Amino acid sequence: MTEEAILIGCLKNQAAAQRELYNRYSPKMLAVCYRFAHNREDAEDMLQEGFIKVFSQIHTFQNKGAFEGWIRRIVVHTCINNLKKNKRFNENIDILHAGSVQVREESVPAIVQAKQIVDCIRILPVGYRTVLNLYAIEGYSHKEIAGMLDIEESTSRSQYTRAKQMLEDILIKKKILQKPKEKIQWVAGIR
Amino acid sequence: MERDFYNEDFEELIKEKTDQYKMYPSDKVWKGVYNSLHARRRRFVIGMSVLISGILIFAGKELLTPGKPALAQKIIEIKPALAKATPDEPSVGLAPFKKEKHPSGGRSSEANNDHAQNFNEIFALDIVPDPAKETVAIPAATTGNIATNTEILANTNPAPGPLTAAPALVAGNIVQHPRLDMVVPNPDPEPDIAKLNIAASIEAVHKAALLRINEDDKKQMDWLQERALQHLAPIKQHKLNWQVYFSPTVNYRKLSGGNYADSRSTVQNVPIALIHVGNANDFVDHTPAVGYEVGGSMMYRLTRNLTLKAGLQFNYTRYFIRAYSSMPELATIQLNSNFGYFADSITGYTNVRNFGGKSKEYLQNRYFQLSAPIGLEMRIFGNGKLQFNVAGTIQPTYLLNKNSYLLTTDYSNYTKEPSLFRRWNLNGGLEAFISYQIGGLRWQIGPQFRYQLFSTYTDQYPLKENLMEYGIKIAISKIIR
Repeated sequence: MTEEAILIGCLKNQAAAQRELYNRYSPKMLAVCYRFAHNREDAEDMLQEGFIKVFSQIHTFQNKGAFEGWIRRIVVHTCINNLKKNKRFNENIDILHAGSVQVREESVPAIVQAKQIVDCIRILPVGYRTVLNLYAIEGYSHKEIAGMLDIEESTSRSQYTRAKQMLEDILIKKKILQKPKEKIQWVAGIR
Repeated sequence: MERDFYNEDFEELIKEKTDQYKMYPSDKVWKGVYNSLHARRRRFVIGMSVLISGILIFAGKELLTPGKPALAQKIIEIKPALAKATPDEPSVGLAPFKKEKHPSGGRSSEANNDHAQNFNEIFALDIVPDPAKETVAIPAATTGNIATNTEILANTNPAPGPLTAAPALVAGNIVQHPRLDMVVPNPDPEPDIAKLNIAASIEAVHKAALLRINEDDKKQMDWLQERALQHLAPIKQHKLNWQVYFSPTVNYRKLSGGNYADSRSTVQNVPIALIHVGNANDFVDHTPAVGYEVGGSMMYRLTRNLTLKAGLQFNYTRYFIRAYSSMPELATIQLNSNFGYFADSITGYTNVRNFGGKSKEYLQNRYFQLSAPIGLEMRIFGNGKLQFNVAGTIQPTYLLNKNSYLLTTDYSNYTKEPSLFRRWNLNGGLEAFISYQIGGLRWQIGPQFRYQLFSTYTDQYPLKENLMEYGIKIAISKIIR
């Protein structure tokens, strides 16, 4: 079934087309939700809500951009709204809290796996994680993030810097990544 | 793993790896999506089908097969004919009462009622129009051997109309009448002497029997005249009615709250967007639209003028919104906290603007509701035929759809956010109507007003919308016997 046929079927509220669209995009979108969510169950709830919105608002898709991108935006906004509703986003986000996150050192396979990266992102505090997801992965600007999360643009920038630093530390501690010498020197110089 | 990385590389790596990652959701997610998209409509169709079928079956049963009431009415109609009958002029149709053991007086009221009931039953059998019965005439000239019979019958003065001779008397054969206990011989065109002798003896027996019957009939009629007819049980007052109704309505809404100037919020859909300060009503272009309500109810008459009613009702309410289409843009709704200030917000995408866009769009905010109206109806004046009544109801209401449009906080866009709709609500209804009884049905027509007591939206949404309906209600009601 072509994407156009799926789109037309969904506009007619046909279950077969809706199922096809769901099968095509739900694995990627669940991964998106999983990065924002507290656990898999929450991620599935977000995914369900997101797809309900996708199907109920599909008439607003104007076929000018990528369909996947449109779905992804809706899913991301659903995740953000869900975090806001559940007040999880309002947890304190500060560097002290981030510094207290315990990272377990363990042997890791030589090949970097996508799952490991995602798991490391999910270790981050919810505020850091959200900003990092939105900026580095979803491609929103700090201005847009500030609007979505009701925070200042500068806050978004600083949160992202800290989130990235923390993720880097986690990845290194888990031996998923190794710091380059130049960077170590640069960091040592700062200190 | 040896890898040089710096900022861009790091971000690229993160993005690349996370994009590769896929997870497969459990089946319950799709079930949830599917049920949300389709089951609601299915439930609605099934619910409406059951409601309409129930009403139609009930109405059909009551209208098409009246059953007992019609029979009772016929019995009542025949009473005047009986009242005219004199004790000296018993009807042949009354003969069966000779077998009843009632004396001419001194009966208890229960016995009288029983007797009256038997009387009605017997009469009900004879009042069925039957051409064969109406042509009953036992020709005296054709029979010698039943001359006495015909003589006796000729002396009787049958009641007019359906009160005619019992069928057994016209059968033409010697038959045992099931109630008269008498033998009616068949007239023989060529009687011989033996037959005449037998006939003479039969004749004597019958003569005596019929004379006795005649006397008993007279007594019976006397008793009926004096006692039974005047002590028949009064007609039972039926207190339960059913009603079906339909109302074309004009719908609108009352919009209040959410003054953006009071919110002191800095949240806008777009950072440079205009801030629209003031009452939301000043910034929207809404117009009323036509809807309808349909339902059925049961009514119980509490007193002569007061009736309690309860039922089930479906409402289709809507109003028009004039808006503009646009490219997809952010739509932000600030949420109220329990303490009266904005604490949170919901952001989504919309391609509908409230002010200037690509082209005009006429949207509809449609609400499908199921209500259970409970209320009182009072007769102000009128008689049994023509009445003027007023009524009031409280209607717990369930909203079936949540896909209507909401204004964003800065009044710039319309968007859909199902989570901000209130499922359960309460409506109040007022009506005044004139009703007129035609046959067994009471028709009514009159104006009605319905108002939604709580906002369509949850308390989190800053604006409050109360739906209103003005309509003309047309209803049919019928007594349940």
